[in-house]
Amino acid sequence: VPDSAPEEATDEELFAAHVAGDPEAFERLFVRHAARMYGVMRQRGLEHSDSQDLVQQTFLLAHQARRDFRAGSPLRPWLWTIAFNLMRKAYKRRGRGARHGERSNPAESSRPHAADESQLGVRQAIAQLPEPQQEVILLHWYEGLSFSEIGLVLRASEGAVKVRAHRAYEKLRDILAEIGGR
Amino acid sequence: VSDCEDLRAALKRSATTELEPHLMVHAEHCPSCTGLFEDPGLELRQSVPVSVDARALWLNMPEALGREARGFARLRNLSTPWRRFGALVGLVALGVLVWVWVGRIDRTVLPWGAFFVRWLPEAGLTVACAALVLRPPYRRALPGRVAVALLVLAVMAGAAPALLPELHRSHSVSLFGVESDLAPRAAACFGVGLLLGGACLAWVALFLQGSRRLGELPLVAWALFVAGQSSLLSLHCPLTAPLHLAWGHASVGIVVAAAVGAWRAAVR
Repeated sequence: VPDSAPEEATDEELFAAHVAGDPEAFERLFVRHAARMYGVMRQRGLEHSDSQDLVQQTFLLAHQARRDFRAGSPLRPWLWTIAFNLMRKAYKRRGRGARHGERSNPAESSRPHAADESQLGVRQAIAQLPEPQQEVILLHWYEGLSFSEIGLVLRASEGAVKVRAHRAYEKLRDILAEIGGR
Repeated sequence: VSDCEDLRAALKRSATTELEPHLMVHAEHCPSCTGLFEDPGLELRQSVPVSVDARALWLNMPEALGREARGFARLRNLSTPWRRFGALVGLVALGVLVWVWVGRIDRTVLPWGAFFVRWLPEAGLTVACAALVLRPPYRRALPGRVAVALLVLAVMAGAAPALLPELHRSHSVSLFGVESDLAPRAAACFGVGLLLGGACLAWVALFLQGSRRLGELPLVAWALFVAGQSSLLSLHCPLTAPLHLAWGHASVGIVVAAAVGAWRAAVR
């Protein structure tokens, strides 16, 4: 039997199957999202091991809270809210000083994985954005959430998210122009 | 065109944190304005480091998920209303147990109205803190200021009876816990208070989703500890002397809050 049909299951279908007791559904959901979630956590300045740990914790919490998930609502904003809550806790634990120190040079932490200089530049530029703008950019462009979904994750209105997105993209352009001009 | 200009002007204003409804509708439908909220060709998607083998990361998960299906771990896998209900039932049972087993011996002379005025805020705060501790992980964490306020409130609720007039002076226990009797009885209540607060916290933590490590508990969990010990101690201890209440009861909350504050300051 070809594997293509179940591969096309939506996140919500996989999660519903997991809640119903399908042992493989959660693994497929995990594999589908873990790498991108890890990437966002690295971009937000977390270490490799912390990021791995937080991805696993995110899914463990999603599993624990599975009975609260309302059928018919989108899964990704729900999952990302858990991930962002964990990230905020991780920052608090580590202390803001350490975090800012690390974030001031995010390219260094990801250098082994960098494809080229322009990608490093973009990563550096994102790291220079204020936290609320960074969150919007990562969720909007990198994770592909809609503005209304981002609003659910960040507990903000769609209008507020759009304002942040606009300013973040504007600022990114300026920062990248500055980096390119050096 | 006017709406396009209005939208651009609004976005330029640093005071703008929200878009007005008519500008939202315009931004949604105007082809020349939708680009204002989009990626300006930065290829961000390729720029975020993705360098983890998701399947390798999954390897630890089956064991962790398996643990969730065993023993007490099943309690934290209940839905949030059931988790809160379970926590409440346990706290009420603890209160009943204390009252029946080692409850106040001055019940016959207790002015119930005044007693409840002092006890109900402590009990109510305990229940509220338990509900907040069990806030599900997909809700935004409780703001730090609110958690601090709850902890301060719990300490104050525990300290208030020491500042109010004595409940009664007509029972022989009202003579205890003062002068040379102050230190031993205050120390005993302090110890019992720690035990009772620990019992409240331990019970509610069974329903907690997320880390249960002592150092990673949310601040509101310590507010629960303080309010819980205070309300249970009020059901147990018949001594009414303000000095005893200050040194034996209120001191638990003050010491716990100070210790948590000092520890948090130290790790930062």
